[in-house]
Amino acid sequence: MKDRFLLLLYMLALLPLSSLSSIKYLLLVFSLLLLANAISLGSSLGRAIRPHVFAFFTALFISTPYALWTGHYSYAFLLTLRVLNLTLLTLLVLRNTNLYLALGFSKTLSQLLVLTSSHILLYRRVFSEFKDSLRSRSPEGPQRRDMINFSGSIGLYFFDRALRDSEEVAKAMKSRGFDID
Amino acid sequence: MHVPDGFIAPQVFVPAYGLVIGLALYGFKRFKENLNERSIPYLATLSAYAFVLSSLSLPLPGGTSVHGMGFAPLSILFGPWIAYLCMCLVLLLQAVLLGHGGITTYSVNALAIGFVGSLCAYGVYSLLTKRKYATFLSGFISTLASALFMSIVLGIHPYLFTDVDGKALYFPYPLSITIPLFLTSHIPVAFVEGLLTQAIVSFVRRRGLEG
Repeated sequence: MKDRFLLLLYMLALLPLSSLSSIKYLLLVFSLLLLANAISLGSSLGRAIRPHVFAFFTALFISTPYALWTGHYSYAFLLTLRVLNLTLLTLLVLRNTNLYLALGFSKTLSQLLVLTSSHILLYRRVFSEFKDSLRSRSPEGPQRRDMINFSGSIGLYFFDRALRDSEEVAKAMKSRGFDID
Repeated sequence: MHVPDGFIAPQVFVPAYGLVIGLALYGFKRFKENLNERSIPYLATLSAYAFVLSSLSLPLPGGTSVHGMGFAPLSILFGPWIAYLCMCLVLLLQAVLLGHGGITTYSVNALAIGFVGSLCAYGVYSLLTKRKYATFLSGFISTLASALFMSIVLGIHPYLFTDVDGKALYFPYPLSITIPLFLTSHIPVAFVEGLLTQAIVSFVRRRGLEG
């Protein structure tokens, strides 16, 4: 219940946060959110924020040409601050919410969520292992043909393994009394 | 194509959330009617495939980014509503795990990639079902349709949301930039998406399971 409430509160907070266009208020919110995250995450703040750096750079990438082109230099600052605020709020909520419980209003959906996220973790780990192994075998850098062969074999491997794993996990969940709706 | 947080106005993403939730409720009804124990693992695998494919993105100048999406195999094998629901799940996981897309832009991403893409993929496949390249074209055309929808949603922002000085408050580039940019940059992506759709659908059918 707590998780669902936090998620709802978060969704409601997004509305005023994304409507703000005063840089003064955005800076104030940024300071508060940074402080709250620093308290909540401590030394792991840097690691937690790393996956969200992409959004920050995208904001800079899109806003800077517009700011230079039109002379509205504050736009780049406004957009970057807004992106940072939304990212920090998301981090804070995710740190304190169990997404599986918050979204677990249906057993079928929970089962799909568990299976999909377990695959995602597996995919990410195995992909980085495959990539490292290709690099270690190609001291001069992989050629295009190597990359095509590599992508094909990795795709088939992932798909086949994921299908078998899914079937096993689904059976394991069922044997522990997790029947679909 | 994921739009990060901060680019979409609340006046757009709030109604879009209403639409996404309404469509998801209907999709969930269809999901429960049509799925069985055997199809759930396949669905999870294809959803994870869509996750991986749409995580590999390249940034675009003046736009957002390009990447594959993976909704077409889901839509062809399980129908557009189940594909839509799975894509909603995938986009949510991407927003919270990887920071690809955002929570405020989630509704627009879900409509473009999940709804328009899945529906178009299924529609094209149904129309051309007897043709040799139906699967390829389904992946190809639906990717472009999805990109077109997103470019329109983003491109209307500078006309609607500016301050008194004419400074954009959300996404800054107009339709004259977003539509050609999104469509041209997505042509190679759509081609690869078509090939992957063809390969995945054949592979799953050879394994002997459909929704």
